[in-house]
Amino acid sequence: MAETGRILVIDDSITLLSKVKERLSKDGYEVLTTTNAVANTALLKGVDLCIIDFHMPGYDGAQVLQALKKAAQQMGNEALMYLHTTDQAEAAGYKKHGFDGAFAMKGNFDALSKQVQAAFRMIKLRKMQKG
Amino acid sequence: MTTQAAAAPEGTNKFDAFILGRLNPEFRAGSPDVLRRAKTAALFMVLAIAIAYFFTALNIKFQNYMGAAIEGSIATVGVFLCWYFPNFRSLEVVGHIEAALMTGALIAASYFVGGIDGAALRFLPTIPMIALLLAGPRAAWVWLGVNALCTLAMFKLDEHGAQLPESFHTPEAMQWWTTWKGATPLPAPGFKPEKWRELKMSDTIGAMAMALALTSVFEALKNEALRMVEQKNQELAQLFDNMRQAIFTFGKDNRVTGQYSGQAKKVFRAEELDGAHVLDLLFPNAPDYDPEFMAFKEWLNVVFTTSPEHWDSMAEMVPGERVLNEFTDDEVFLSVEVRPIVKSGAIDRVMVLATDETEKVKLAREAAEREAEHNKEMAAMKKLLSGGAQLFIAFMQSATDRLEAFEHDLGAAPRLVNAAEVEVLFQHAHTVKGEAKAFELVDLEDICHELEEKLDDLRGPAAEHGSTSTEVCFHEIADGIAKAHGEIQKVRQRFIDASPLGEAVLKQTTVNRDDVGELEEEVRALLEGELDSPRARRIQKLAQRLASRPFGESAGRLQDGVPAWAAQLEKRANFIVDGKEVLVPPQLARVLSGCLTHMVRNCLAHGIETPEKREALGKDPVGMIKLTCLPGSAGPNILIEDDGAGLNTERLRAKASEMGIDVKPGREWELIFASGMSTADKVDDISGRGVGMAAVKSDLEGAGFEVDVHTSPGQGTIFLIRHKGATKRTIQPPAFLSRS
Repeated sequence: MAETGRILVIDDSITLLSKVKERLSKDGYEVLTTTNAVANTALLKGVDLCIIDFHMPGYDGAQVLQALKKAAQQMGNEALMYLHTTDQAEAAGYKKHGFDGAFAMKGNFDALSKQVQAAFRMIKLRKMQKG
Repeated sequence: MTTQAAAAPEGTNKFDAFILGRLNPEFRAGSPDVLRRAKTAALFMVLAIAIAYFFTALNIKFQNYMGAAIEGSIATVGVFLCWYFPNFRSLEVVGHIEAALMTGALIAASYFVGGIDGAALRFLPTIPMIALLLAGPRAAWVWLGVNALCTLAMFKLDEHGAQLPESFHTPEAMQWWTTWKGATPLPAPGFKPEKWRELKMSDTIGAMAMALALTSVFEALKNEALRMVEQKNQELAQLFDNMRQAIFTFGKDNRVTGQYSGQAKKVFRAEELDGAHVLDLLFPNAPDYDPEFMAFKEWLNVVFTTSPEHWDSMAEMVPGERVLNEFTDDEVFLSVEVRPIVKSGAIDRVMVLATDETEKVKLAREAAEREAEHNKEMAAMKKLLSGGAQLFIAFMQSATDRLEAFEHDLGAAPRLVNAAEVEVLFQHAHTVKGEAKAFELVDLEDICHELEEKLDDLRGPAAEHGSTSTEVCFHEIADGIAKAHGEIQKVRQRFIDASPLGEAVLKQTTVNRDDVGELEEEVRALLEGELDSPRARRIQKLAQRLASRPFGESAGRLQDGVPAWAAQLEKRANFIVDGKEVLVPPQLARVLSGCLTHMVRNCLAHGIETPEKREALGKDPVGMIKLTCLPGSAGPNILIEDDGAGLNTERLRAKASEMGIDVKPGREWELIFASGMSTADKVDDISGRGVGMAAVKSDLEGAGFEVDVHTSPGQGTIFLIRHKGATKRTIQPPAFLSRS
């Protein structure tokens, strides 16, 4: 069954963005990608889930996240912000940086597909709770 | 209404045996303490009746004991109903009867203490009490309430100095009691208030005693109910175990409660699941940032607040699959389902059904890995073929020869070998390994590497002592050589499968086409001259064979095309080629590939039906196109078969009529080779212009070949390409066309 939802993926690697987009689009999601989230906060419109690389050259990951959160808040968007990393220890500290969760197997697209499905389940549950 | 006597267990006394004998065997089996309970009931019954009749006989306070006797009799009847009527033999009824019986006995005692006036009031609720007790334990409390109200009424009467109602003193009643027993039945109006206090006291004591008795009875009933629940639970657990699923339920605290299956203990590697947290079971060792763990945790927060009507949407949000101990050797793949257990209109517990799919997943993985490996090997073979098959063929032969030499040098049995002999053996393994590596034959390389290891162990002792025995590793080396032989056979078969020429690839060699053409010309010239002799003809045939091409070369290129063309037409078809190695003369080989392409595309366009139509016709949704090349004395016979709809002769005739062409009945198929003839409704890049088949016929005739057709409506069509000089035979439909 095809999934639905809009995802914004932020990474400095165009190759990775392309691979992630290919896989998640195949799953049925609408996938937007950018290497410069700060300049493209408008992309957040209607997005349910943001997948963010914390270590992008020239950017402070925490600042990027804060900028995105602020922009999302101004838009009235409650998108979940997930850290995308290969580092388990960094993933474990997701809350410290202000993320809602972490996808800790960067590069494994099968795993990412399942993790994104789980994140969307969480989004649906939260929506249900709010009635 | 028959009594089913049951044999009493050995060692049972007569009285117990009598009671057990009265009981339904099923009932007795279902209630281990039934004997004790039956005896208790009997004792109370006997006591109640004895006390009542004793005082009745003494004619003291006659009415009281008469009332008690009536109650006791009702209870007795109840017990006997319970014992003798099968429909009454349920645990619930026995419990109620017991309650009634004990209550009756206590009432009798109460009457004795309380006196005549108490009896008058107490008797009123007693009969409905019995009925209520029979109706259910809850009703007993109703009776207690009624009883309390009666007691309270007596207090009130006492306070207001009221008297008993006159209705109790009817002349008929007075007369009856006086005549029968000579006693004074009821007090005269205006009796003393002290009497009320006496009544009140005794009634209160009686009520307390009854409450205690009933509590005891209810406790027994509760225990019985619990035992039954336990029994049901055990049955449920057995059922769960038989289902081979890990089944457990968890409550609002997210911890396992109630029964769980034996499989659950195995799957979750736990001795006990009771009280285990569902997150610990389904997500052992999961980090708290694991998105699946987080989502399920969120689900747990919501699930018990959800209305059962919305369960389906909740169930969708549970991961359908879970992998326990992921990325370890102990991975367990589970398919997970959840079901609600609803109580009082709300979700009370959730049942988890987890099926262990580990074996299935591992098999699927292995199959996928094998397929990937096979594809990789086939790709490697195709690479070898495209890069020059001769080298690889030579390797297979040399590796086989070397392994045979290896076997020979090793000997038929363990023996002493010197250092030089060990080196020779080692060299055999080493050379095959090196060559296998060059052709990326990993399995063969591994086998040879193991052989090297074994032989390396012999090197040291042989060098040190001058010689050593092969006994320690003889069988392992012999097995290794056999495995290497087997591996080469497997590789050989893969090579043949990957080749469009089939087995012929092993006999092929690379020659210059121009040289072959020149040789053919020269031989022909010789034959036209004076050198026409049997030997010269043999040379001509040899030259023709050299110039011939294997059929697979012409047919092979269609292998990838057929699925793609079929998909373009929204059809499905398997493509089979037989006789890849049969030689096709050069003049036919030059045109054959193009002819086959036209004919196969024609089969797809006009013959093979859509999968839906095929299914509706009872055919396999995937059609079949088969090319077969058979050697013949005058040249190859080539069959192009499909299991499609067959030629539409009616339509061909109509089309021919439009075009003003005459057609002989039964030879309508000839029309498909007429220029401009097409029955396709639309023109596309696969069919419809009506030039392809005419060109095919023309090309084949140019090469000295002709085409014949056999068609069977609804079953398929066969095209036969044969040399013009070949013996004309009727085409026999192959088995696949006649199976329907």
